[in-house]
Amino acid sequence: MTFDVVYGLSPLLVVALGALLLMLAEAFGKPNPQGLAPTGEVSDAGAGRAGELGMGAAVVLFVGAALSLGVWLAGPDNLVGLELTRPYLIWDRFTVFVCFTLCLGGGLSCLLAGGYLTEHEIDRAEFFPLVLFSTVGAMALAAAGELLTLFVALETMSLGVYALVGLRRTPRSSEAALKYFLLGSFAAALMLFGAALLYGATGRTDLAGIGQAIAAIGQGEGPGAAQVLIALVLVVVGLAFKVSAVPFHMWTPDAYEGAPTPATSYMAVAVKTAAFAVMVRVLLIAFGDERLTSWASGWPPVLATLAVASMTVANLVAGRQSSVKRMLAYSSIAHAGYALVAVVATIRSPAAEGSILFYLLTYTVSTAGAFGALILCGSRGKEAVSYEDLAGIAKRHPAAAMAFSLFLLSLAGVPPTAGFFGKLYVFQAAIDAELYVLTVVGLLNSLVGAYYYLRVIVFMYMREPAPGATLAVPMRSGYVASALVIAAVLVIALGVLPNVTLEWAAIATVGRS
Amino acid sequence: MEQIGFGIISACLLGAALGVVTGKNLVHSVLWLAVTLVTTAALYVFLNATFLAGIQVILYTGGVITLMLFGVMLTRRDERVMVENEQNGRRLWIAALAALGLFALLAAATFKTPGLPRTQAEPTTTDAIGRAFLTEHLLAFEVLSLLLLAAMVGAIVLARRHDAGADARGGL
Repeated sequence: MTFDVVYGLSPLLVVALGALLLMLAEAFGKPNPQGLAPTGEVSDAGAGRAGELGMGAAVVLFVGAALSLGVWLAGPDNLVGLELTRPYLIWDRFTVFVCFTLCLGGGLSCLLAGGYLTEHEIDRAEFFPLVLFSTVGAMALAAAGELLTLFVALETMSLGVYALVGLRRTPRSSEAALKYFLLGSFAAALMLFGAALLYGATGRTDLAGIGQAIAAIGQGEGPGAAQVLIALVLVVVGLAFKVSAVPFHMWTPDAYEGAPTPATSYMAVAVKTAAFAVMVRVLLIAFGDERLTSWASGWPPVLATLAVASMTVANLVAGRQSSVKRMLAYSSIAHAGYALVAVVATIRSPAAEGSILFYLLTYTVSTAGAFGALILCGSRGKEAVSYEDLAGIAKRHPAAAMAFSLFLLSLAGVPPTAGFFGKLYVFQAAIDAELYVLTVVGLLNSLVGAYYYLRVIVFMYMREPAPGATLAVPMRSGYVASALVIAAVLVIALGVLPNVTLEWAAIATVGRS
Repeated sequence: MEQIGFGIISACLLGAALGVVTGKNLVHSVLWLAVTLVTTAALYVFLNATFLAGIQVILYTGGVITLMLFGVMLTRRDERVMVENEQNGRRLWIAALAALGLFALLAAATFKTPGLPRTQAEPTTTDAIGRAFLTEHLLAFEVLSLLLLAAMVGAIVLARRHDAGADARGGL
């Protein structure tokens, strides 16, 4: 039994242990003189501490992903004693699938950071323990089945990320970190307020208990009904902030742009994935009552509005950006909108939960890949951020341009990439749930989205850099390259053979009451 | 008797809170905030939550307020830092409207819920809270320790003096 419990929780434990070890390694390891040299050329051979620790962190996270896969295959329900962690951590297939996605996204971001921090001479190897701590929080958040655990996990995930955003001490980076921190704390406080009201109305802190109590409060006017509604609003606002849905997205472009690119990649994939997981669980278990899931008197119309706003606003604004990094930030808001469509679809379609999980996985590999390709296109002193920086990159570094195009096509949802099937299953679930308007809005938005993704490809392949402009020299890094290879293989594999993964995602449900 | 005590404490709390937002000097605002936090602790005592009251005084008045005062006083020599708490007419109205809206919402919720489940009369002891932490909420407690560790690492990352990095040249 003990073995089963440890094995079941192993993804969480391995990453937590890895975080502690890396922290010690970072603190007591020898400082790398080469990385500190102000003028020294940083060669591949002396990739330095950031590189080594990045490799370590990535290995820990990939082991976490592999163990998640193992636990998924063994089936968490078959592991004796694992149900003892309930209701604090609900370790079911849904959680394990999300853990896999989180570890994968975190691992890719760490590999990117291994190359990026070295190239840009940022001697901040604390990056890696922070990512690992944050990932532990994210996994606990995805598993949380009780309000206290949920809040603690949410804060563990966020605190690490706040520090990651402010890793570079440029004014822009500090501003981004401060904005994100203040708004994030505010959103967390709103959510905590909602949790307190929920406890007040129901006397329970576990989600399942809250769900039963709300069902008992029942039809309309009983005591606590008003409190429950206000709590619902506050919790949805807090979660909408974390997934950066319009109109709670104001921080996203600034924070994404100001953060070092590997941190942006981590925020875009892991934070969003964990927030969607907990959103599905809270809405379906705590607020899964018949009245609150009905179209007339519950959360579906609110979330549908958020979805439409996120997709439309983000896609329209993304097209007008001159910075590719900012464009990718808006694109991540738009993707939150597509995923919200699937969240709404959970009310009537049993396949919707699986489609969210599959979508988050495809989104993770495509987004981490896109940010990685962006990192690869620039080098020290000249990061590639604008469309002009990317002009003609196909001639200077064909491999980077190829990889970037692949990930952008996947984000745009062009077959046969992963992104196509992610979107396809989300819209299928939406049609299943008879959400025709949402489906049409989503499809139209995919078309709008294709414009700005393709624009990058046009710049890379068909434009020449302006004469006299400083050229962004593509960097050479084994770490970034290996991350891109992993992401590219997954994008193609999920695009060509989506069936197995999708079937796995479909079995992984939150087990609503 | 209880009603009178509650009234006095609430009046103090409201007055101090007004002092925080209307104070022209940042130091005064921080000191008013300390009063607000102490009176909140008094309210907790009224609600039989003595442990919470103690924590409130130790953590907020003792720790957070002291830190804030240090922060204000250490930075006030710097002319880029504004110590005055300037009031902006339009923002004041927006803030007032938002506060009133939230108040109306919460008041409506309070009046619409007549029969809330009453908590037990005997105070929750520190002993019971400690036990709950190490039995029932052990997992949250463990995650909490990681949270504090992450917070410390993050604080060091942000506070560490900048070294010969390339950030100044590195674009963005």
